[in-house]
Amino acid sequence: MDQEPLILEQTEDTPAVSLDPNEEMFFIKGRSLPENPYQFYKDIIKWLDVYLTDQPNKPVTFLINLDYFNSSSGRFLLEIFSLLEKSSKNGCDIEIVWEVDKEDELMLEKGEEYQELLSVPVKIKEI
Amino acid sequence: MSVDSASAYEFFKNSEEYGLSFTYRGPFFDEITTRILDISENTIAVNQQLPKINRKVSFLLVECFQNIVRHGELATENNHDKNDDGVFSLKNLGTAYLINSINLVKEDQIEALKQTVESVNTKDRDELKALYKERLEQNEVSEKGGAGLGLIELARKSGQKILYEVEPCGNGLYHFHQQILLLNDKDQQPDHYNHIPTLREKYEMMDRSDVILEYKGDFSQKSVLPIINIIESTFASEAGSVRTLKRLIHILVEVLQNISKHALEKNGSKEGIFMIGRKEGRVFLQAGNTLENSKKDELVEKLKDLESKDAEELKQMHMKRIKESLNLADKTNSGLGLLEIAKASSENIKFEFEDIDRDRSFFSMYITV
Repeated sequence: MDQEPLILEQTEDTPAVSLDPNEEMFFIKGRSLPENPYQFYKDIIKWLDVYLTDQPNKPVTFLINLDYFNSSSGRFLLEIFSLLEKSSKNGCDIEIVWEVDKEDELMLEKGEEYQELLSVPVKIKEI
Repeated sequence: MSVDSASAYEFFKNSEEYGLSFTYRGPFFDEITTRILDISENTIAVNQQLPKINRKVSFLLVECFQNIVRHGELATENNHDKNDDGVFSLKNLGTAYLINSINLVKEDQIEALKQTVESVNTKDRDELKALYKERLEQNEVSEKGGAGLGLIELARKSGQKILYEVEPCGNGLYHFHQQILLLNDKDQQPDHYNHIPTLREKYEMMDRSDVILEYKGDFSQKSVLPIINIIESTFASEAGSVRTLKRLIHILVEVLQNISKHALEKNGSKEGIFMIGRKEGRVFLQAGNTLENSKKDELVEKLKDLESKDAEELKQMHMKRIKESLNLADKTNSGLGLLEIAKASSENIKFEFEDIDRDRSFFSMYITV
């Protein structure tokens, strides 16, 4: 049975999330400033872990487009990327797209940091 | 930090007695009004420590704020060479709320203003109601857009006399100090609440330190989101500084969450303060909180370590730490806040400790965006 999609609406301090197997890509968009990001990200990480385990060969495109995120959210983004990296090492076709406003030097820097940290390719797309 | 700037601790002492202190020194424009409302509606609603007040407080806030927007003279338009457009403040003390403001008034208008306030102050409820109706029917709109109804409404809704003081400030202009009091408990003595001197002192500190906004109060997420929004609106209105705005908000979030995580609690609320301002074209943040002395050494060591690193070293350190944090058992505290602040700010974080007593210190940071 297909996994139920996980869709979260954007709030004032958490991003919109769409993890829907029927769509061509997964995404996290908006701003991520929760005081306790673990509460917010734990279900997302769990969902993704289950998905990647169940569908080890299905290609995944994961898009991130954030205005802001706080330092503790940064840790959970890395956890998401690490899951994707693991699948990529196991032969799954993974693409991480880091979408940034071309004026947004700060988010560009953040994207470059993740590029350096990960062996899975992070494609920076300036818009 | 220049020698004559007020420290975060001085600000803290000025605001110490208040459960909530929000002070804003402009720019004053209409869009900020809704943001100011968010403070009363969210901050007061979520903070268990603050007395709940009906919608009156929101109403009074808007009325007072718009009074400044509409009637306050602008320093620049009056050959007043100081950055002196006035100040607006919301404070909570026990079960009372105080809305204090200072704005600029021209010499030739000061007598009329005094007379209006005096006349409103001598009227009882019914008389005020009658006066309100009369003014409404006359439908006189002054050249600045108000109908002269503001003061009457303030007096009606607060049910207290409007406290004021007038003070010359040079260039033919006067500071008009005003206080609106909202008491929860009808038996209290309104005479006990004159906070005009406290705001005068704070305005002077803000002026000397180039601070434009001060907040002391609850630091939970719901309380600080409206503050973040005000700052975003204030700085977004200035052209050509997307980069600064981005860094500012980024640092601001870390600073506020840092206070929320590490400050000591007093009456169920984290005890801290923060200020934002602009000096010589650079935006800065000042933040302070009470801290157990036992945590001081570790913090000093951490800050000194950050101070010794250049930008590339900070970046490497951040990448190393964020990787390590994946293996930490404590998922709620990544410990990356200060490092993130050091990375995003353009100068070293300046810090200070003041002894409060044997067990506690006041820790403050000065951050240049």
